[in-house]
Amino acid sequence: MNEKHLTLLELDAVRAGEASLEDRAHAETCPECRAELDQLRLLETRLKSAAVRVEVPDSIRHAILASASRRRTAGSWAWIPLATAAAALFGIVALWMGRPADRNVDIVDAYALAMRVRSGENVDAKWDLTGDGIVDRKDVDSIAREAVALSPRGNR
Amino acid sequence: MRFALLPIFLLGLCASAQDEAQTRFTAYDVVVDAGAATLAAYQVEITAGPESKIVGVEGGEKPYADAPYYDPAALQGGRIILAAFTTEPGAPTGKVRVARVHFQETGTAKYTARVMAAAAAGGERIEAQVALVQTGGK
Repeated sequence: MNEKHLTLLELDAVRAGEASLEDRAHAETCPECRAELDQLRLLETRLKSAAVRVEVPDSIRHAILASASRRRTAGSWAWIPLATAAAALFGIVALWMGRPADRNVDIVDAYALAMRVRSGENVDAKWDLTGDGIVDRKDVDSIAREAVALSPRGNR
Repeated sequence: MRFALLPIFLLGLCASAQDEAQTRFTAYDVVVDAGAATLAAYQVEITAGPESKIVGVEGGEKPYADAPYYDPAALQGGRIILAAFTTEPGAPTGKVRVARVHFQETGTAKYTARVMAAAAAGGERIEAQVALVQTGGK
């Protein structure tokens, strides 16, 4: 039924309310696309609540605006590289911001998560440290490695 | 002049032999005592004095037979954090040999160990003690 799924950019357009009726309808009826869309909305919520402000140097801002202006006249698909870069930045920041408990974790957290993963319990998406869309043993390992890290980011 | 460098050469030989005699390898078992509680997870920190370097880590007894989590950056250094857990039923109680750490010592080495976190089966945090037990060396 839903053979063709929406791309990340199309899903982001749905999230932003700028998608076509067809794409919006697909996102509402396709469970996989709906799940991806929910993830995007979750990231948006997290970023908004994080209240992170990044100052962009004027030179870079002017270059981007000038580039966007030139590309706007070049064709309707010219925004794709810029949107892709923005989506990548969005994802990286979201992953960084989404780390649970701000790295204040220990082995007991890893153990508790391992037990929940093992029992098949529903686990909060914030524990998806690897960003692969599922919370599994890889995320448990990630917490455990963080717990034993000697770097200043550790929990000592 | 022909033998002028001979004393220096002999001194060098003596110093080298002395270094070899002072450098030795030793291993300590890391034993965590959870008392009456089960030990389903532990995290301990081990610190060595300047006369000792960490050169290896291995597991202990079941269910902690696999090498624990640790930061590879700890090797060749004097501080390490070890951690492991088991989700299998029947976690052990009492004193459990959870890991073995190998050191290279160049003098009279001193070690300290402390439990950073421990949990019983089910996830309840517990108080536990840790001891380092020398197992031998050469």
